Amino acid sequence: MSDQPVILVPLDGMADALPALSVAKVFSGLEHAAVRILHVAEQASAAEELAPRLGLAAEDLRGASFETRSGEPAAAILAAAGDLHARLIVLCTHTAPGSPAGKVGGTALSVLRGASCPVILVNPAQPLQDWRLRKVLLPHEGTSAASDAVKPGVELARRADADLLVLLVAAPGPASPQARGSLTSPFYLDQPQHEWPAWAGEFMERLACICPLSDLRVRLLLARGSPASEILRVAREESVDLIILTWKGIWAPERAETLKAVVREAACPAMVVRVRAGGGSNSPRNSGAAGAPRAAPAAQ
Amino acid sequence: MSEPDGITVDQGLVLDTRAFDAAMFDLDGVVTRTATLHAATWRKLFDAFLRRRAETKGEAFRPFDVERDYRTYVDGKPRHEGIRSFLASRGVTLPEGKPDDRADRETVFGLGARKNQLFRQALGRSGVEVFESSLELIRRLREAGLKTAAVTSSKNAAAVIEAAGLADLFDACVDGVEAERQGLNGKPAPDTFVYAARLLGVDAKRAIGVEDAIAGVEAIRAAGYGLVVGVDRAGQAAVLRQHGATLVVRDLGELRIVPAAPAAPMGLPAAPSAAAGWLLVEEGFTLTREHELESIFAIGNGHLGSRGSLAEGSGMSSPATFVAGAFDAQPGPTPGLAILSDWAKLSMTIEGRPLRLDTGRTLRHRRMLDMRQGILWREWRHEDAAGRITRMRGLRLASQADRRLLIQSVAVTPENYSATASLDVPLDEMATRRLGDGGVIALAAASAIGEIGEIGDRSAASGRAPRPPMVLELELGKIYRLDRVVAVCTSRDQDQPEAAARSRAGRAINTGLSALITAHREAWRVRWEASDIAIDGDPAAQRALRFAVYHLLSAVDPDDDRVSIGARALTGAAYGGHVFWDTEIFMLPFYVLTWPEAARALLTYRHRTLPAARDKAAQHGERGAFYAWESADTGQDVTPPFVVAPNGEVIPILLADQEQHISADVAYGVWTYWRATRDEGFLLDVGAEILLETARFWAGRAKLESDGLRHIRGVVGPDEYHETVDDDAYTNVMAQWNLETGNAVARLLVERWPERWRVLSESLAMDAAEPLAWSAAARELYTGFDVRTGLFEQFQGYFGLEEIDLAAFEPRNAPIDVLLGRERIRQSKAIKQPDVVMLLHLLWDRFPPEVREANFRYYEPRCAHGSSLSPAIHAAVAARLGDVRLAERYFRQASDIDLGDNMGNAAAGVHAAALGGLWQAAVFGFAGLRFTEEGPEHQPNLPPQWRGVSLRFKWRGKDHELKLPDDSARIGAAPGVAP
Repeated sequence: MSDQPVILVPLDGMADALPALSVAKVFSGLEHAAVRILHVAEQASAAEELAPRLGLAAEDLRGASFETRSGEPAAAILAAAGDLHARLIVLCTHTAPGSPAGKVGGTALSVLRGASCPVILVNPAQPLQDWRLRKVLLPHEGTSAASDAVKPGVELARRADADLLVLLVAAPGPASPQARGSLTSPFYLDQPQHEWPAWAGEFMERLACICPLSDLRVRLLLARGSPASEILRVAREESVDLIILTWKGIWAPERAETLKAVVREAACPAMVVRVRAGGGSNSPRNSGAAGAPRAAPAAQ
Repeated sequence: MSEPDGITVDQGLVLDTRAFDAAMFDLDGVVTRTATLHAATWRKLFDAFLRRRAETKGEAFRPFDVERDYRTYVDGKPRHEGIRSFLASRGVTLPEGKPDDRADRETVFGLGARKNQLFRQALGRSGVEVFESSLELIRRLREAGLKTAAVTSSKNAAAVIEAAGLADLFDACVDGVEAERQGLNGKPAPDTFVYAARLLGVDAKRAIGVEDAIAGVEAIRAAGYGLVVGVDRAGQAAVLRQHGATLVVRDLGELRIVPAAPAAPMGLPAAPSAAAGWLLVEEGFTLTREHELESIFAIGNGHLGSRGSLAEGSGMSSPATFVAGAFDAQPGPTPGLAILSDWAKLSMTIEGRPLRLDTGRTLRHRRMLDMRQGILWREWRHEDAAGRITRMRGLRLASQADRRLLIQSVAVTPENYSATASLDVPLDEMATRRLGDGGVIALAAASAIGEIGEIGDRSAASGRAPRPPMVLELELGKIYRLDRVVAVCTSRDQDQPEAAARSRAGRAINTGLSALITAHREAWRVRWEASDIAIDGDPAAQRALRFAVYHLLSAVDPDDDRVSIGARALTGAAYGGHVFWDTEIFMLPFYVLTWPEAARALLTYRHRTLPAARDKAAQHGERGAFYAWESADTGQDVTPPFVVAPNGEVIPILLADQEQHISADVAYGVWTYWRATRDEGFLLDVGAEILLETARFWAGRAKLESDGLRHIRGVVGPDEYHETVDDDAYTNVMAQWNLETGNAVARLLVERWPERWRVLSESLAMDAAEPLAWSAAARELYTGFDVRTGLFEQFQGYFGLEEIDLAAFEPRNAPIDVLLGRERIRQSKAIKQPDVVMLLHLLWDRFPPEVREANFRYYEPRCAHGSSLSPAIHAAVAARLGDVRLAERYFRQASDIDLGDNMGNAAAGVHAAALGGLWQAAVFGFAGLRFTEEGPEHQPNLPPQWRGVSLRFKWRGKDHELKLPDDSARIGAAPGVAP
């Protein structure tokens, strides 16, 4: 098996699935990865038969290879991703004709849930002609786990020499994350002329110590309001090409609302990365349990 | 009766650890305070049962007696045995039932299930208190090489140990669950203690058992243990002896261990404090928290301050050492404290592999701030990729005895290998920092390195270590220690700072670290004797207050009146070391009452910077003194003119021009000091001039207008959400007070020191009529007080602003002005921090009770606490008003500002003003300490869990001690306290 990384692009033959391929090709250039087009069907087909069936022109096939699998589509996609150690999965949010714009279909959702690599969701309604990666938006919740999760996306930005906008949205609602080492908007702004620079520097240092930011042009933005609205607003105003979204893996009603809204309404693809509990490369291996400084006696 | 082996009684109770290999401890009542929780739960269980039974049988209800019935029938026994025993005492027999009976079954097992249910509920609600002296003994025994175990009948031991954080104190735990699994009989049978000894692999004759229950001491004796220690918590010493205790104490802190653990653990020249409640401990390592911990663990002596950074560094390390008052140009528009070389930097390799937290495997990592001794400790066991285990212990301090010295000692032991090590210390001899104004700061290091034995301290001979990197051939099991002294001298104090530093470092290293540390510890002892505040019953509050006092003591130099304390003291670079009203209003009261010399020095700084304050007033077209909002070394205003917020907004900073109340704040600090000390020399040489010049400023600043009143327009009060306001209540009333006080001090000088008045008034071009006019000006000042409502309007037009229900935005993770935008907040009643409430706090007696109550109740819910200065003041005022519950909430909020571990507040330095405010909340708020012309009084409103408060303070040259609660309350002369 080749050591070249693989970017998996599931295509089902519907026209709305095709935009994923053009996005995948840009990523393949950045990752020096091969694009593997996956078609899930009852019977395997030869490449020359498959291409027209999938609506692919000859130039679409350059740099790509094919694979067909049978079975339930999402399971087959995840199995292929696992077998190929896919670096990314790039697929459209939905392909069925008449689907509401931006709605994440059943297959895409199942892939999202089961994938162990980042998943790029492409809304087929997005204008993606000549899509390039020039500016990346990274909404951040301030936890180490989130910093760890976004490393693949940040690396892509580095390879693309893209600008990176780190966005924190201050909103009423949840109290500060309880994870140690978290840093959200400053809770006290005694003297803004000192607090803002100190906070901005601290935030970026915490991010960079887990997710290196060297060789990147980075800006930190703080917005206020509904996280989804602010992410979309900034994405629109800054004309970003990719939004990196962290996700804890729950897609229940009233959960992942920000993710759903951004995927539904953003004018650019979204890279969804899973945040693992306890992630964050925050502690040295096998260290003692860390706790808040506590009063304790000591022995002579 | 002969003493059991291992006990020698000379003075007090001594335990010779050489005779023992292990110690087993009961949990409830010995290590944890769950006995009370258990007793209460048993009472709840049995009272409900007995009441039901009495109603059914038509009998009188006789409740469960916690003292007698618990101790006699239940304490120390397995749960079901306790149930049978107590019921039998009441002539009641219940069916046994089955082990899986539900909690509502009236069987022995059913009652047992119910009891467990009640206990776990109570545990979840209240957590676990521990006997700190017991933990201390366990640690000392383990340091002496003994193994330890918990032996308890409780089936909840795991939950209790977990909740109390005790897991690392025991090598084994034999609890009710294990006993059942092993088929062991419960106490007073010896089974569980025999089993514990077997688990630890020790001969019972070389084991110590510690119990507080009769059944427990019986069990230990029956197990054949070498020593049975009874802990008498219930006045039953004789009974415990009768049942087998060979040694009875009221508290395990009474025991003294011999031989004493090495004076230095692992060969360091000192040891951490053994007394409970003085160590702030961080176990493990969380990279992203490193900046906060560097601030929290900073060491300082008021002249030097140094962050608690890792010696070898890390991906987040931000080491910084500061000299108070040494400012230098910064990348921004204003100067900041110069950051010196990382004097403590030290890196080590073992056979070429670096010893770092991010390499190999960390087996244990612990840092401890020893607040009592002013020492930062570190313990670290590291295993490299080749399996070599290295133990490193270190200490670091900024000498409180010699403020020019920084001290570091590191002891290294190769636990399982011999190898070549390389030690690199970048600051090996001299580092010099040249400041933009031509000033020079010299750091000179002197080191000694050698191999030492396990006990004792053989400092290497004088002289420097070989030039780094130092190569050492480490031999398995031996201890190698590096002692370093760094002397810091500046051209402000020395003509030749480099020579002075070198000489000082050389003398110090020749003196030896033991002697230097002894002097340092003694200096801290003196400081704590004068400044400690002890809280019984609330460990979290005690920790927060000692943390506050530690940093306040570390921040000030009583011998240098050229400097003050910046907003983050000497613990971080944020705020550039700039001095605000924080010092006079939030920190100074602590120094006035516990370290007046330090308070004097801080106020003298304001006298030295009076020329700059006069200049600023003149620039604003006024006479007198208009102090800088942000001050560095010269007193000129160094407030940055703008800031770019992370949302891209450019925010002009108007505070330098508009936040004028600082002049009154400085005057208030002067008067507070004078009132508390009657230091005439200070008043005549320093204080009076400040009071007169600040009053003069207000006399001009408060303009008489057509309504016959004086108004102060276009200011910012403490509530910085509202700028360019007219007649801010705090500003105006403090100005009014300043005018009155200026007049009062002028009269005082005229009456008592006419010659001084003559000289001063001439120098100020002030005639006798001028202060008299201030009195009239004070009366004419508009204050915004409405006699009908009893409320102060915070500034003109405030009452017409939009009402915002701040509570509706809770919980939140951002300040309200970030959430709603500055403009919306500006047009609302939401305030950043206490303004009118601050007046109540500072001028309490100026307002009748109903005015205090009305204004606090009005403004408190409208305060968004956008400043760390806010919660503590609210705690103080709420406590004084008797609203203890609200006060506690604010007190906890203030306590968490630096010590909370999920907000990152302390990353750039501790919040010195918030720490001073916290102290004030405890002393003036909860303890209710106040002062009249007759002397100190107190009107406490203690939180219910504060079983006692004691503190010392100084008032007019006398030492006093306050001990609460009221039934033993006294303010009296403090015994044996050096002035």
